[in-house]
Amino acid sequence: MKFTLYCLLLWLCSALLSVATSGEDGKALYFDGKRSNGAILRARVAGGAVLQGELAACVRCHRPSGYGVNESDARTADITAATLFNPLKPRRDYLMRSLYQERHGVLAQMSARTPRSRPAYQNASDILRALREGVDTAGEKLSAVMPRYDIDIEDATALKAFLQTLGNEPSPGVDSETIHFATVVSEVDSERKNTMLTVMRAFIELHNREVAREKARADYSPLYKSELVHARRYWRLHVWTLPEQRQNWPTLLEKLYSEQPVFALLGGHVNGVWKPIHEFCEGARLPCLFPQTNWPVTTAGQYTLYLSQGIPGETQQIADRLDEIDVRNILQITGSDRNAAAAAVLLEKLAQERGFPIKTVSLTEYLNNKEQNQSQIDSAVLWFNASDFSRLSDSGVADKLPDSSFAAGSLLVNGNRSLPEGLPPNLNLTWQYALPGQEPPRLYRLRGWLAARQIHTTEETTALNTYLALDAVRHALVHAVDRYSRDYLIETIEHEIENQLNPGIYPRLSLGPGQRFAAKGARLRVRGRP
Amino acid sequence: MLSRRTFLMSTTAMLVSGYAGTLKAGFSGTPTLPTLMLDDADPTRIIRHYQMPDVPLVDQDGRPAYLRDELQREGPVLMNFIFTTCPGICPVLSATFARTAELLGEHLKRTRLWSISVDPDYDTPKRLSKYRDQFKADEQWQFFTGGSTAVKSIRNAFDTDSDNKMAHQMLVLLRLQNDTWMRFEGEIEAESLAAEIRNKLTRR
Repeated sequence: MKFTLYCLLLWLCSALLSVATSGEDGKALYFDGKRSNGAILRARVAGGAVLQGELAACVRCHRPSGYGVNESDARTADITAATLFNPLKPRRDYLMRSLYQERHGVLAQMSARTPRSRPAYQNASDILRALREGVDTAGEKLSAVMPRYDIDIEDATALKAFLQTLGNEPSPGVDSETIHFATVVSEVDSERKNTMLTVMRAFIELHNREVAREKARADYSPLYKSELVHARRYWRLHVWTLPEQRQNWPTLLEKLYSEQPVFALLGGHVNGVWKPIHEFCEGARLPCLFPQTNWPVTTAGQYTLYLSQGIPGETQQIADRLDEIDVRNILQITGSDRNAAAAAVLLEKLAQERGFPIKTVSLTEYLNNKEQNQSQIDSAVLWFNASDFSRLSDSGVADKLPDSSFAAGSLLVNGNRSLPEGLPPNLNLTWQYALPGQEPPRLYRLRGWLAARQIHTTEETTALNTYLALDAVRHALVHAVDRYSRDYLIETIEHEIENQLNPGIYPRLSLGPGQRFAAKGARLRVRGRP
Repeated sequence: MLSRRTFLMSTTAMLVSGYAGTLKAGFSGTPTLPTLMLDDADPTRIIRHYQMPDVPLVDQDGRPAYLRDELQREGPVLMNFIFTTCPGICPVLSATFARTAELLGEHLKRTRLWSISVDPDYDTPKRLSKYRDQFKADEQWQFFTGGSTAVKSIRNAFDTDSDNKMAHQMLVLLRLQNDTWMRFEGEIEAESLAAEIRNKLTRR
């Protein structure tokens, strides 16, 4: 009896292990384009062209969420477990989205108007047939853009095991009525922090009022809203306040998150680098959307989308330019801003990599020995904010800087992106914002939105960037309908950010799979020239 | 008073004539309409005259390139628009180019393949070079990027602009001669492209 029980247990364990291994193999095939036998995945597409490895991996088109992506005429199918392993029937709410909210080419519009039905995928053979022959469970041919894979039944079995888990992850922070969001702030009060919270509260109040109105008239259907009312949720914002001492942030964030799980972190403003919060978000697989930081993490994460590359990006631009113009004696001067010293260290590192020397002094040291310093330099890099620049001006040396001098625009500007008076006209500035007079037109509309809510602030940049974070999430959730997947949220924002969401701060906004910095069009600007 | 039958007939006639007019405009006039096509149909080929703008680009090795000047040299040019982080159709378009190059055999030496990034803000020469390596591209196949304004002007000139790179088309253009281009839209096969090029090169 004992022996029989032992054998049964052994069999059960090996069966479970086999399913787990199979799922891992399927995951490798889905994400990395690697087959169960270790070979590289190969496929033929569009009548004979070859795709292999990562380019042939399912994730490339179906994305980490499995919900797929629409790209002009190519519509990639939803292959999450709930869709694939159930009969496919047209849904009016998704159809509404496809017909009226998605950007489609003509072919995709036609295909959206004739939705397909098919029986559920039931076994590995069904999956094998779809992948090898491009035929679905209804016997219909799949699109020519869907690759035909060179795989066997073992691969299909492994893939099936993985696909059965795809999209089944819970959505923390979402219940039947409410979506919980959080934002992270320092405990010290500041105009930036107050502006951000005021905009968030105003936006969410307006959103919740709309949801309440729609839910109150759920059976009445102006503009087909009753089709979508089941997916509408109230938003609730939780403000996570972090102390000045940073060493306990990871523990504190874990604690706050376990007390109240949230679907995403929106915006956020803390003093100093964003790294601890970035690492927390990546660890918790929590979308962290457009924090207001000058010092983002520059190595790509998956769940944190930044507005711009901040000061590390500007430092890189200056290093590239110094390398190009090939000057010898470069002096960098650090001011009082908390990011100045870090920028100087980064520039030293970049200069070392490129093989040009650079000397660093503080502003006080420079002013104490200004005559000697001036005579010895071909190029100066000023890590200054407006008050540092005033000190330089007051000492009468601002207009004696060499022609090849640089400063970081994001340190010099005030909360409305205005530069201090009296900057030398030949100073090269790194500039990530839209040039005055050339801002995207939505700036004016959003200024009206702020004014209508009596939000008058000296931190317009913060106000508009906060609006962007909220608006991007609202936009993405409209597209998602009731698919509350964090991966899908990120993917939709990547896809949609170019669609008129720019609040007017940056020349262009654009993202894509793997791109993590939305603001595009930053450049070196020589003042006095366009 | 208009009877129901007359009303329905006249409305149908108006719709049909409008649709026919639309199709006609797509083949002979401007603006260009997207090609209407059903699954498994051959790609529709449209002949168009396009002037390449005189704008600077850089290739995957960071070398400056002026495609307008390059087009002074005769010979077929196969051109598409891609971006390196594209989730769906660009790998297919690029694989189609790779296969076309393979099918061309000795004709490849007289053919140029150009892929222009529609995401020039992100696609640096280095990124393009890495992407190019994934397709083991022959030296005849070059990738280009440049300023956003320059790329936009090229997309405008070839009637393929969109305000969102994700909305870019499945499109391949084949330069036949001077400023005459053949436009392939939809599901494009390497066999068709190679056949057109072979045909052009052997007809001379």
